[in-house]
Amino acid sequence: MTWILFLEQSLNGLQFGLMLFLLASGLTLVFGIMDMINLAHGALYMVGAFLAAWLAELTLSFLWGVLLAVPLTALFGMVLEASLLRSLYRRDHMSQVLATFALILIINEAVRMIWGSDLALSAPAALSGPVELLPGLKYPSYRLVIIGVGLALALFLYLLVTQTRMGAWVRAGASNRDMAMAMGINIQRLFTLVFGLGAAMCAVAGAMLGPLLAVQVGMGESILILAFVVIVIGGIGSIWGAFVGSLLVGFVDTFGRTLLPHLFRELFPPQVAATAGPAAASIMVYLLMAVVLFIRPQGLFARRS
Amino acid sequence: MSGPLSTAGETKPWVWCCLLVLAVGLGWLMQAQGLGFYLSMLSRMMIYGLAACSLNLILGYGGLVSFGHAAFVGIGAYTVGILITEGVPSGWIGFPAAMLVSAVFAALIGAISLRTRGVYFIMITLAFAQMVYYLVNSVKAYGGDEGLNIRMRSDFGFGLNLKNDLAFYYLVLLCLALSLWFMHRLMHSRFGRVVLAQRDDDVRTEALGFAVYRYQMVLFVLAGAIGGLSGALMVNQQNYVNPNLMHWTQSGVLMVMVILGGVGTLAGGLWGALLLLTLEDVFAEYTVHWQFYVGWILLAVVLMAPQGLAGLFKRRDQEGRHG
Amino acid sequence: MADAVLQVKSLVKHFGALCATDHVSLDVRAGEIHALIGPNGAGKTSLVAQLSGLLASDSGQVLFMAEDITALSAHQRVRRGLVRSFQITRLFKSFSVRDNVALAVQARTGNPYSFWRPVAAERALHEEAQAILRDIGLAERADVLAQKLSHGEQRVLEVGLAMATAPKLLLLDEPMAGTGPEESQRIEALIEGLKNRVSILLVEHDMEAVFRLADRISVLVNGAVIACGQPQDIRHDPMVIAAYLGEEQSA
Repeated sequence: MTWILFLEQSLNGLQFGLMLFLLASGLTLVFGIMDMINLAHGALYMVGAFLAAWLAELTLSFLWGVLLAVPLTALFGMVLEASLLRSLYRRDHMSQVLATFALILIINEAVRMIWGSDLALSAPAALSGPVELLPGLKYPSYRLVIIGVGLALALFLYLLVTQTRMGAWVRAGASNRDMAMAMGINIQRLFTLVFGLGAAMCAVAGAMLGPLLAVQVGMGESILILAFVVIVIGGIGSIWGAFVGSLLVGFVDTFGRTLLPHLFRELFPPQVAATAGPAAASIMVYLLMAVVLFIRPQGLFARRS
Repeated sequence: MSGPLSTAGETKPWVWCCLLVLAVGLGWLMQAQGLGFYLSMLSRMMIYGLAACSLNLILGYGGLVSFGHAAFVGIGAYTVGILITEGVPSGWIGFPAAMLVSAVFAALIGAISLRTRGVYFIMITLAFAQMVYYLVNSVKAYGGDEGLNIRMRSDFGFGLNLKNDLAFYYLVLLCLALSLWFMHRLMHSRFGRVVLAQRDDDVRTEALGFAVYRYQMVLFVLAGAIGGLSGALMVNQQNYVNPNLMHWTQSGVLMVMVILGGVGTLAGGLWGALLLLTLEDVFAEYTVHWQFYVGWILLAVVLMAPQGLAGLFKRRDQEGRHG
Repeated sequence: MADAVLQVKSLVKHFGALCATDHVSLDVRAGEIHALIGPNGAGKTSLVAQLSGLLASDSGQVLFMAEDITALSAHQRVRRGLVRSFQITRLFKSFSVRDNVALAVQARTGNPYSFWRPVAAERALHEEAQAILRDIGLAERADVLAQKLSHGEQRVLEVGLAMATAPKLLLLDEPMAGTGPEESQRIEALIEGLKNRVSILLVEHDMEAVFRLADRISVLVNGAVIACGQPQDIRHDPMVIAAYLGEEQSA
């Protein structure tokens, strides 16, 4: 593995990790404050991607597609929360699983009915070329933009949570909901806003990853799993945990997929390597989660009392 | 006498016997009327029902929300599939092997997972199931992501040809009946009492002198084994098995069946499977977007009938806690 | 002490900066009722948790019947006869009252992993459970679901459940918490009836009951035992009065 390859993969890991963070942050707050398992979170990511693709087509501009998709998805998220999800907070986890699973079916099919099974979304032409970061290291400019956007949003979220009053309420709600309510925080309204924010973040992730990963029905399920892994590793209710967890998962997954098959080819005969390499790469992230849970069962930065 | 499985609220044995006789008769009738296709469909539903009932052992009775149960179904299916592919078509070897291999995996996964609680348990069972999924996906020798076709069904000898819809249906019915009977005896035994107790309060159960972890392990392994049995039947029914059978969304489907039919009731998984799959088939006749309508119905059920279908028929004063 | 059923030697437990258990040493003699009193936050609950095996101590030893049980898990301690009741009621809510007790009896009799025989058919088990219910005065409520009992009745069942395990030492964690006068008397009578048959470590706030029941009293303040002795001595101990009883008397 050369230095250049290592740096390139690190950037890929960072890029993926930051996008995962956009999903995981919303998910961890939902789980942390309202103690609700929301399987439909991935559906918001998908809706964001589809809206961006559709609007980009209509406006002939990738930028406008993204800029319009984000508030629309946020609105969709808030409507969903206020109408359906709210009645699930008091219910047990199994009911939540059933209901949000049903939502996945509904939203997946609805998207299919409106737009079909997939939509094309391509990165803006201006960003299709590589940028030479270091002599010999050429990195796609679009991916750099993703990293930039991801870092900017992470910073925005950090400032929101630590510097604003709303952020203080969120932190209070995440560590002890009943106490927060007793202190007069309108947890219901706060929560709708938080949900909307989470949906907006999902939309950004969906729109930005669209050109790389393909905008298709079902894209939510595969990334949702990883988002759950992230919040379990990071500790439910902790945004900082979600950040660290996302980067960890991003790096492990990226390096796992590139390094491990390589390593296996070096160490094992070809038939074994051909099978074991990709298999090991896929399970790395889950292995990571199992190890973290073994050592620290509540996650790395558990917040909930 | 009230209690966790009081005979007052439970379905009486004679009702089950009648149902069994009806099921036997129905199969014969359908075959005679040339409805072999529907007979095969019914077999498929019953196999899913068996899988869902095995999940109910740990989910409904044990109170352990496992999101990785589909892995055991898949493992059972692949065990039989691989054995047949490798020239060992005997059902007498295949089926027990399927149950054994599933049980072993359940023991391994359970040993680690059962040390966690609540949502972490959910996640870690999910993670293990995904690991199995990816592992199987990458084994190209047995089809990889394209799945494994088997050329013949399990051979049990005695002139029993499982390609015959009725014969297969009776095999499924037999497995289902035996499994349900076993689960019934299990839950009414001393072991079952401890399982139900730890569902209500595991700390108190431990404080009475029971090693709760051991009981959970045994339950988990039994559930895995029966899941493996349903997998063995499934690969026979479809002549095919695919890693997607083990994807976490399939575990979700099984969970939906259990919750729909009634968590913690003996045959809730079966009724849920029958209902869900019937809904799917009915809606699929009219529209390609049947999942949309099924989704709304599921949503309606969870919002309006918290105890699932079986709960609709239970008397109010016998309600236990939610899961 | 040759007579001691339970010996606690210098038990220590920290929660971060907070010292919940500060080198606590005490012993419970065979057949005695040893009460543990102290103001709220004194560390009584964490001590009970450590003794019952639900919480690991940082250091120190616990000896039960002269055996070092410090490393044993909760269910292992129960098997040896060290049983606790809970301050916040923990019952099997979906079980009937009789089935709750039957489970405790089941734990110490017969085959633990019996898979096949229906429990409902075990007459001996249910008769013994019913007998215990008669002892604790809940015989008429035998078929009622535990969650339907009144709070006071649940507290009685809570103690009864611990008794049903046939313990050698009972750790009673505020058995009269939240009960009215009638149930308090019932529980007090139960405890009195166990004297000399079962050793008891009684954690309680009800001072009158404590002074009536206890053979010896230990006082826990800020995680440490500040006094241990006979009730009349404790009553007049100036340190105890200052730290604890003073609060009660002025209230």
